[in-house]
Amino acid sequence: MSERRDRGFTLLETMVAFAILVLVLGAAYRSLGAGSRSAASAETLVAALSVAESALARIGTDLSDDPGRRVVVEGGWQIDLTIQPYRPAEDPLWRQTGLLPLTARVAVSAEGGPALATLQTLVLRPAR
Amino acid sequence: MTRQAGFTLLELLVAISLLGLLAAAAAGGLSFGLAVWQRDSALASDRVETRLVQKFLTRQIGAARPLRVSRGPRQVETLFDGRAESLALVAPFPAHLAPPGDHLIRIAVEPGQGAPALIVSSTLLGGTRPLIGPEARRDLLLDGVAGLRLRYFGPGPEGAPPGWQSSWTRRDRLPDLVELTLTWPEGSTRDWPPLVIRLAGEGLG
Repeated sequence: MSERRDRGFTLLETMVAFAILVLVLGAAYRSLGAGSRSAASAETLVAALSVAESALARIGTDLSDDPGRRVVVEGGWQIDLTIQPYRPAEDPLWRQTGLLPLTARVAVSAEGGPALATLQTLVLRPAR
Repeated sequence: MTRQAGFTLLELLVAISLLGLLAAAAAGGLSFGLAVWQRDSALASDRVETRLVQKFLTRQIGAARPLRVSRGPRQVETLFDGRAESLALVAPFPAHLAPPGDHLIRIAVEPGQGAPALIVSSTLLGGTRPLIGPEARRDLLLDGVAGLRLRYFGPGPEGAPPGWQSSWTRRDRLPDLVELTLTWPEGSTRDWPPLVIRLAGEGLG
């Protein structure tokens, strides 16, 4: 046994060592790939957030502020807009202002995908 | 017994060439990994820049307001010159960058340091001017852009229903919304969706 060891590594030992090296390098590459993919998805999230903010800015002007739910598809994005009466609207404060507060919620997704950005805001319109 | 004497030339050559191949593969892998790493960190800093610039534009254009001119008794006029490729408006400039007071601000894609860039030029209109210091400033907001396209939402001329228009030069009213689209040079990794900004002072003037 000791005589065999003196002669150096066997082919088998070397192969095993290489296999381990390849596995470790492979794992390192996979994590690199995962980092790259998450960078790409963060890119999409930032764009979705910008689309959601733009949609909220448009409520009451080129998007209707009527209560209800509507879905708009624009430039590959699906904009899901829900407008509901703001619940503490019975507060005398609101009656004094003559304004009707509404809650606007927007969820933006790539077409058919899960929601990437969800934002909510308070919209005011004249109480009629 | 002959093996104890050392390696043969052939064995040595095989070992060296194997080592060479492995070293080449490792170097290739490393440089590829480094390139991916650098691209990812560049994308990450682009994203931060994107958000900062979008927030700045939203705040600055959203703060547009009518200008008080003393031509008549308490006369108010809007100074909002919206074109398809540039925009001039009156708004306060961020306090940490300029003295307080209304500024005339122009946003356009112009030649920056050589290449086209999104430039914000501003001049203090009222306020207290410092005795020494620049009266106008010109800030490079974003480079690596090709062009700027703008649209304006508001009531049409002569009572026409509200809609998107390619320019806004009315003096009696600000538009309700401004839509800002940046175009990028060929091969750019950036792609912003159109940015829609609501003007807080829309009804004034």
